[in-house]
Amino acid sequence: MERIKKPAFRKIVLLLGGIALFLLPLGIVNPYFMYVINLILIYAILALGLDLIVGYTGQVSVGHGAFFGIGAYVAAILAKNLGFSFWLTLPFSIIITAIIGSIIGFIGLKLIEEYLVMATLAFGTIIWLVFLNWTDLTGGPMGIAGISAPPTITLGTFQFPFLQYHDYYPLLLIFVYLGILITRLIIKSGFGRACTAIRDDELAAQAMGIPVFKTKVTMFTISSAFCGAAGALYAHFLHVVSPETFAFGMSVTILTMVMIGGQGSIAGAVIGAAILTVSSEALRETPELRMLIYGFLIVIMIMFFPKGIMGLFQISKQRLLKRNIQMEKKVVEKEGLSYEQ
Amino acid sequence: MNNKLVDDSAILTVNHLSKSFGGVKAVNNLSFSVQQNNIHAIIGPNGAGKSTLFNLITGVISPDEGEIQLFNQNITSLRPDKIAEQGVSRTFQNIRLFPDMTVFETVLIGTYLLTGGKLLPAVFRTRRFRNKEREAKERIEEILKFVGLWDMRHEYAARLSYGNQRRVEIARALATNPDLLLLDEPTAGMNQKETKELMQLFSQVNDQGITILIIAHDMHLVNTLSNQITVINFGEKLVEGPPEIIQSHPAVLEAYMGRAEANA
Repeated sequence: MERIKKPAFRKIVLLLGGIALFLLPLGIVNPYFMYVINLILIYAILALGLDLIVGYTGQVSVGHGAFFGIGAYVAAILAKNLGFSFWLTLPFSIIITAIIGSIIGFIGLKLIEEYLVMATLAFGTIIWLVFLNWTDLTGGPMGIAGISAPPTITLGTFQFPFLQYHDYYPLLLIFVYLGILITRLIIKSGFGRACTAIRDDELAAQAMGIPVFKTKVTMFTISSAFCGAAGALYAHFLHVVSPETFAFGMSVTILTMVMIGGQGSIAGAVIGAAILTVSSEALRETPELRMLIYGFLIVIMIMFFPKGIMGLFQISKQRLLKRNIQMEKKVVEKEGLSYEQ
Repeated sequence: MNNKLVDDSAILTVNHLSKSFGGVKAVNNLSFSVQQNNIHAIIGPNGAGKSTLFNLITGVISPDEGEIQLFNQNITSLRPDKIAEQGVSRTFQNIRLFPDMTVFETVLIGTYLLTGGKLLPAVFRTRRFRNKEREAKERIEEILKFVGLWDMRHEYAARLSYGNQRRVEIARALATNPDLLLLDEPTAGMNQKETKELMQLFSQVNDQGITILIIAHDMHLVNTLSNQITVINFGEKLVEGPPEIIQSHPAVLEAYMGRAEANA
């Protein structure tokens, strides 16, 4: 993580590209395309959040769809029942989801690997059943409809109302940028490095003075807070939430995004979100097939491309080198033994 | 050497420590103390309980009985990260590096206790945070130059030679700024050249005022390097003393001869 100085022009290109993306809606006429692009942005926040715990900390969760749901339902309930605007529901969604996330993390992260996966699966299912059955609060299978759009933003004489998909895009893009910024700041810090150390070798990390459990729970909480924010955005963007969106399939979808894009990579999370959103829209007519394809993709990715699309370019070279090292090590170990005898 | 409960010049005191796994007493009523600035060696045949002893000292496992003191403070059964915080750092018998990190990144992990894991300063990039980060990076530069890995800092640690991987581990341990460094068979699997170079490094580390507790098999290394040796067998202390005495001690010879016969 030593700073390798990037050429200044690369930074400028990134900045200009980032600003240029705000102009994207000008080139898109079809509102459906705009809708899909907006969905990609919301999923990108989810994938960034999940990547924090899966990619950077090495703790697999298949319950993050539920955190997304909690964020969405909190926003929906507050907006419908108490008339809160988006700017009020958003912090509530984030905080409530983070609190629940920290509790689940506190319980679940005592477990490791497949046991953690099972625990998050169980948690996700329980939350989904709550959405489905607590009809008084969540509207049951019908969900909650008629969630308000964010209030019109007024800057001097200019007004930005949220009427159609095109209007939401800049707002969502800003949140994606915020997510990317926060992710970067976190991973380029002692805390972020501690997480990667835990992912790579827990015992060694702990011997360096890193409080493993606390660090994991903290990252799990941040990760769920990302999902809470995405949930609030989703609720106010679609104006309707219903339980089937936040079922087990959603958790798998987010995980697939992270795996396909490349774990532990910001660009990977965004690319994964784009690919999965577009493909799931394309497979809209056959949702059963979708899960089959995702499952297959995850297996293929884990077996052959564990670092996802972002790792594709370096992977074959790296594997070769790693094999060499292992062989070297074996030879050295043998020599070492023969010295002793 | 005495085995009194309080020993002012000792950095580490182990009192009547016991640990069993099932019916096997891995460490049995073991007492010894490590004097400041010493290079103290623990030797003994395979399965004598040496690594168990290290795991007890570093908090990876808890003892059934007994007490471990660091600077006369009780550290028994503290969590490993808390013990690291108290100034104990270690290397592992089978080198444990972080597979996806370069040498620099690996050693940077060792500065966790300096930079801390606070989140808000990281997100807001406070002045204090940036200063600590810079301080950490300066310290890494110093350490990497000291262990002779500065030129390799951008290489993946796991791709280095075996001897250099051990250096990375030692550099990472030094980055925690320890008072006591535990080395678990640091030269196992090394060739003679690597062993010699590592021994030099250990005495240089020791010259910086860091006490070293080392587990070793290599009698030559132990005799040249250390100034105090504790021999254990079956989890119990056999003898203790400076190398000259240990070398010719009948009990030690017997333990090692016995092992040689069993191997043959």
